[in-house]
Amino acid sequence: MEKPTDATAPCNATDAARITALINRSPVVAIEWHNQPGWPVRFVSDGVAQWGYGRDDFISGRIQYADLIHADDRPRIERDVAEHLANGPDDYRQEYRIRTASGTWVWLDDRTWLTRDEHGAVTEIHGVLLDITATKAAEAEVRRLNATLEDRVAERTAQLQAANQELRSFSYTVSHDLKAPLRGIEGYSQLLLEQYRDRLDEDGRHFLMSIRRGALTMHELIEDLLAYSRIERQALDIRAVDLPAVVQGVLDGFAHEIQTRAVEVVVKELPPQVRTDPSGLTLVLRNLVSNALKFTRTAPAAHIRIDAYRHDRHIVLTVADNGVGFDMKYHDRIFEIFQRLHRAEDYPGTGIGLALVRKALQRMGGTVWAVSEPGQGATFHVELRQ
Amino acid sequence: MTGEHGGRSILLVEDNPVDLDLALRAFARRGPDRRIEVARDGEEALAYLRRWEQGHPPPALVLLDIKLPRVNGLEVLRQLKSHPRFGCLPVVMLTTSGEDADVGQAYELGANSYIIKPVNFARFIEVTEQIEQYWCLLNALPS
Repeated sequence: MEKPTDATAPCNATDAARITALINRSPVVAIEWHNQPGWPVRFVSDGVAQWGYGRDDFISGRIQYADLIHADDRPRIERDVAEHLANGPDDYRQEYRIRTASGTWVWLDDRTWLTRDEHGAVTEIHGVLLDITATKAAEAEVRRLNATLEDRVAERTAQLQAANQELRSFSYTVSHDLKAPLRGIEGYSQLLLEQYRDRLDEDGRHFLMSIRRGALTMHELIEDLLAYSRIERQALDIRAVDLPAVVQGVLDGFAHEIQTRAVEVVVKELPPQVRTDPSGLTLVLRNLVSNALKFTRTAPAAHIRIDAYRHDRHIVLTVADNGVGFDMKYHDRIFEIFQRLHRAEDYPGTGIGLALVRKALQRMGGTVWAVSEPGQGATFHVELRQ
Repeated sequence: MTGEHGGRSILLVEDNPVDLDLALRAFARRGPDRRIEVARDGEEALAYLRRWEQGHPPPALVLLDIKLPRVNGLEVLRQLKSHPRFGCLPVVMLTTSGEDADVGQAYELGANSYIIKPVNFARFIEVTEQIEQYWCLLNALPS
């Protein structure tokens, strides 16, 4: 059997030749310098061709290695090498740029170690060089993207702040400028009614009353809109709140209507304390009780029940009534602003109340939902996260 | 002079013609005795201050809107309240804005009271009555 020919040379080569061949095929450039000024090259592997140089360029001394290093990196590299030569450690790693034969720049990761003679003087400097230009470019790109991202976040934040500010001045304008003409309509229609009542016939008085009702509705609408926009701007104040006291306070506000209509109001045993925003909770309860009163107006024996139960760690308050109720297919719509399920002449209102409830709870970290059937009353559930 | 300034006027600082007319009508219901002087913007209000310095009798009360042309109400308030002689004159803010920032700033500058103009005219009449009763009849001022 014939021995393998030269085509299988690596198999026949000595270990040294084999390693040389392997290094020459790897992206790494092996290099050795004399410890002399300018770091003349004693040995360099073929890989140096990737930067457009031949081995002879260095071995002949035509090119001094130090001259290839970028002017911005060279002082740092020279200083570090001097330090390592003098004080060690003898194994170190540096990153710097060198110029290629075509004049472009590549970043190198240079892992170096030193050989010393018996007196401790460095005789040889060995290194393996790896081109990390692509990695460096990627790092720079990541830095650039991060910087751009921060700029964009700052830009968006500024836009949002501007929009917020605009909303503030909008609600200010609504409160100030929209109410002024309303005072005129209200005031003069009142004067007309007082001073010219006798001179108006029934039609005339009807027209006048309609104008006044319109002004009243518009006034309620503006006040509710202001309350709605104010929720956004008010700082949250989460603390321990005396729940029975808040419920009683809200009910006291409706005492007149509850008494004159003889509404039966039952407050079950409530947790003595909840952690929440007191003004938000008051707003939520006030609107739910007002809602319950409104939609029990036609009920023969109006009944409102306020109760609470625990759900996980949270407390759920319920406000139940035996009013007209609603079809559950409208469940989500009733919490949207300006959405109404009834004609205004049947149940007056601005369509903001339940939207206010939902918005206030969103801010407080709570939720609201309702269970109802037409003609069977409605129960509103308010979950207060604890 | 203590107490007996019932005959003194009220300075009403109001730019909106409708609000001004309604306010004058509301005060007129209290009888023809109460003299109402009117400034239509912040500068006219400050012109009154100059006149009091020259001997024109000061009012028992200043009713001051916030949003005014030229010089706004808060600046008028600041100048009135920092005046060495007339700083003690009661100033009642009578305005549409219920903004916390406006209310807070008005009190910081020394407003004696802050009233949001009611939209309802009957209520507005009540408010003007109460203002006049308290500030022009009950309240005592240094002479």
